[in-house]
Amino acid sequence: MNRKVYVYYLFALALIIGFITTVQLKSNTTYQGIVTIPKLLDLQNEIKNVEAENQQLNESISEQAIRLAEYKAAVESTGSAFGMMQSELEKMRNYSDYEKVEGQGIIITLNDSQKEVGEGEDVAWYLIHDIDILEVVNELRMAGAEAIAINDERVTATTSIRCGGPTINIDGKRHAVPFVIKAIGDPKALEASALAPESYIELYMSYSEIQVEIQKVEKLIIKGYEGRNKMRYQRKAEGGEAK
Amino acid sequence: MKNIKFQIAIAIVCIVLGLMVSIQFRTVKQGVGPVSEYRARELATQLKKLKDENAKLLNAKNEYEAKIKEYEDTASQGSVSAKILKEELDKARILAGTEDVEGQGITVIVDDLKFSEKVNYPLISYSMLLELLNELNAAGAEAVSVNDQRIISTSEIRQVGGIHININTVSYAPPFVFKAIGDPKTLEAALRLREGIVERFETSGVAVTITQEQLVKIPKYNGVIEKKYAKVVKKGDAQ
Repeated sequence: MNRKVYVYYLFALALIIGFITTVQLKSNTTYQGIVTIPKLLDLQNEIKNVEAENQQLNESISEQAIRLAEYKAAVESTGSAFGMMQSELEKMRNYSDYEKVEGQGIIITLNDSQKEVGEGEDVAWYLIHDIDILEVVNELRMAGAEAIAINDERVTATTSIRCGGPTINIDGKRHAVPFVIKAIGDPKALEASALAPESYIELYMSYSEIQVEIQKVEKLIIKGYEGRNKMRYQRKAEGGEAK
Repeated sequence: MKNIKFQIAIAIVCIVLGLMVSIQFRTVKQGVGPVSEYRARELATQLKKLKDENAKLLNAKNEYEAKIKEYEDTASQGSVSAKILKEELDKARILAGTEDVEGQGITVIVDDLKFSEKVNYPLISYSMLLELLNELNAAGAEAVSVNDQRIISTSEIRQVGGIHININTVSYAPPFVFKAIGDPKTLEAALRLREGIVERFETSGVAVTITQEQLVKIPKYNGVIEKKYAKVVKKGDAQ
């Protein structure tokens, strides 16, 4: 009799301990595991962002400081900031792609694939589409391209590249193959990015055998932008920060 | 005799169990428990410091710019030619993206609401953002920003692992907020075309919200624009 009671005791105890432990462990992991880790990662990411932004700002500030000093010097020596404003205007026109520019760079020539269309395949796979050119341009920008033109059409911040039947419209103007993409920048960096195994050209275009030719050039000339008026809706924000 | 054997067995089981439980607790707690809470607090203070610094830097930058503009304004009051030059300069700055701008336009919010709820792979890829930007441009957008990063002619959009996408080298997770200045009706209609970009986004589980606005404000580009290789060809120069 005595032993039987003892066994029941043990059984009840084991049950309670088991229950408590599982509850404890469970609540522990769900609470900290799922809520905290993504939050931590978010925090880390935000820190990285603000750091990157601060670095950008720091660089920009030192640039502005130099500019301000130049303005001061110009006003002191010539009595007016006129000359400085002229060179500033030229710089801004360069930044906004309205000026004809020259420099070293690369030329990428793209042409439709000559590969035979197999059974069950679509000829569209072997043609160049708007998205292909968008991707190539985006990669050139990543590699530090300073000025880009497609078939002599200057690519600006607001350039659109869209398929329109057999042709591709660049800023509304029709162009057909071959697409000659000129980019001014460090030729080595530009070429390396285009030839990298994870680049768009290597990953997607080599599969469908789109014809790609890459050429480094010592002196490239790229025309200024001659497209639509981009000042119909936007104006300088007066006062206050836009943020 | 029998009783003692039984008790020893129970004791051994208890010891093993106790060890296992304590080890389990330890590992669970070390991974994400109080240690991570401490780390989170640390990160939060670091973030606050960086944000304070950020505000100070922005102020400093704006001060420099205000001083430069003061010089320009004084000069433009001096003569008619300087006044015209100043106007040209303002225009060029707007087009280059180094000036805050405003005007009518639309806001487009692209979000992956179903992410982590139904699927756990990134729903929004950088190429979708590239396409959306391209559509806005085709519809006549004059200035565009994504999460307040002004898109200038050298802006890149790059996937950086997981759901994060870099815009102007700053990384963002969804939602992505596009602001575009242009004719609001045309911009919205272009995106909402049948089988257009909004439809395609929505079929792949991405939510798109478009609002037409009377006044959209787009901040200037905050980085440094480098033109080390591209030199302006002067008008007089031979081809």
